[in-house]
Amino acid sequence: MDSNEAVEHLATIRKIMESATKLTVLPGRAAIAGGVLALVGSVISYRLLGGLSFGAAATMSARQQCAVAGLWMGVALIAVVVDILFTVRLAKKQGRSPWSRMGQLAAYTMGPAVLVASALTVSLTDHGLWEPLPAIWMMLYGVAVWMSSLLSTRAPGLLGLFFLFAGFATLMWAGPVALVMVALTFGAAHIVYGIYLLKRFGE
Amino acid sequence: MTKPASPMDLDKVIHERSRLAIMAALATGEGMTFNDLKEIVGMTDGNLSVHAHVLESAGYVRIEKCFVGKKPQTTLTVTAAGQSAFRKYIDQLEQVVVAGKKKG
Repeated sequence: MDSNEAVEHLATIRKIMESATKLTVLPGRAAIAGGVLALVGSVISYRLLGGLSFGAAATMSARQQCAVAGLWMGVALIAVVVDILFTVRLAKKQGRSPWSRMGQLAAYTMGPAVLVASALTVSLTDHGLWEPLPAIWMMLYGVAVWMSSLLSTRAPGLLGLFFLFAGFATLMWAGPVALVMVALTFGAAHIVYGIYLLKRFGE
Repeated sequence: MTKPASPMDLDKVIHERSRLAIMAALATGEGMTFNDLKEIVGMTDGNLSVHAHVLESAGYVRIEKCFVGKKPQTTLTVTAAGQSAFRKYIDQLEQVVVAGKKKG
């Protein structure tokens, strides 16, 4: 076997591995829809918080705090539902069962992260700690997306790393402008990722 | 230094294109139904069945049949020996590429 033939074989292997996993846990259209939702959520949050830091919520009335928490819970819930709908639609279009392989992958990677994020959100807000929330959401989401990339295409891996770094930066330095980081990650990064998937895989 | 793989060293079970495609598709996950796999590798039922059984005989793939509701379903999973052989095969291909670059 010569070098060219080996390169050709490796390219074939890569192509098949990618097509075997192109039904990712976050289809392109779902990512774009999630990104737009997050951007809308960020704008509404800015009005509710009166600034760019989540820390401002600590001094708000219980009703205002509920509005902020409810807003992001709503955004997360709608994003998950949209993701599931697009994943099912994509799977049906490709004649596959969405619950066999991808359902497991999504549950294994996203499930624990969502549970931990929810538990920490409830506990921290209960103690009046709002400022670290966006960083925690970003990092946990980043871990989940990174994990999904180990069994999927490389694209979610890069998205996961971006969320991890952005989450770390928000925790350490960017707390006062956390809302901008939320818009950049959950909003803009999702839209860019979605456009990339649509261009790369057509879905 | 490791000697580049010669055609004689390469695992003949995996080296065949159709079986290589099956191994590549299965190596990405925990298991796949016969129909999913057929769609990915673009093979006919008969061809896929023949090559899957060759891989099964080599101990690289496990084929399980079960019923989902009333429908029979065949699931193929790569075994630990299959994963190891597939990784070794890729390593050998990479060695060939590196050796080719050094020559060129």
